[in-house]
Amino acid sequence: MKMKKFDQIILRFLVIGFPFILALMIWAYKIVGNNQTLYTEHYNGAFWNVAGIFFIIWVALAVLTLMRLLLNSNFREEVLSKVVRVKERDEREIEISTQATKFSFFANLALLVCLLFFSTLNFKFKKYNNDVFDESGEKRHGQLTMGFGLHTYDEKALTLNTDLVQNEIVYSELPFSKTGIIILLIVWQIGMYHFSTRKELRED
Amino acid sequence: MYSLVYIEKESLMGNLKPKIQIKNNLHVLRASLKITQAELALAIGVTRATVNAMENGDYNPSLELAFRLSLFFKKDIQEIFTVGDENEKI
Repeated sequence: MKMKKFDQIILRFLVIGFPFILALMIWAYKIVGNNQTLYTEHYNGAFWNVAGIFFIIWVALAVLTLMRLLLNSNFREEVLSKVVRVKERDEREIEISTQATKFSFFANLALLVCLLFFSTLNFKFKKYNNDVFDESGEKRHGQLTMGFGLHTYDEKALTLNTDLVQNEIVYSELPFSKTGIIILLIVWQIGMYHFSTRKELRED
Repeated sequence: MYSLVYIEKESLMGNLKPKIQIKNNLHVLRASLKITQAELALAIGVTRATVNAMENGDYNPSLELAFRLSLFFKKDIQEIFTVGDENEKI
């Protein structure tokens, strides 16, 4: 698939611009340290302005590109096949690629199901050093507690900051928990598979 | 009724299994024209590895590619590809 010139320019800008963004992060970290906001009182000048504008443009284009990756199947295939170096030069390679995709799909799904299980599992083993007796007078050597917990969202991320200034919009990380993200990925993978196959079958 | 449909589906799935071995004489035809695998690959629009896989019987081409080979060698498809013994282990 041949990529559009405009898409190529944007992707090159994102890739080439990434080291600058990284350098900018290191520079900002050296000035103010971790988990702090860089204000104009820390640094001022032409570089600050240019770097700021560059940063805004880069983030905006990154968001736009990521949304397109998610929603536009042709664009996704064009970009990601280059990123993961998919070789589909003829029908045999397409067949091999199809088999590899199926293999990877099931391997991913198995891994996600496994991760989902372990992300919900709670396990605690406690060994008693001293003699402990239960209500019936029987000696206890230890205690084993097992269970499952399902938290789909991150409570910390959803906690409202009461000190927030009015009209301020704050975004910081995804509000989903690890379990929530795993469930989302499982549903997404199976959903996309059925969406694709049913679309093809309907066309037949 | 339900079980009948089930059996039908099962037999349909069974038919999809490759039971026959397709043989080809690509190696002989290519040698007769004195061309390399790379040259044949270029002519029919595939990679050299695919030509090699077809000659070794590791890959059965699609109908489209079979027709391309047929046009290239100016022979019928059945002259290039033949069905092997059904009981022969693939």
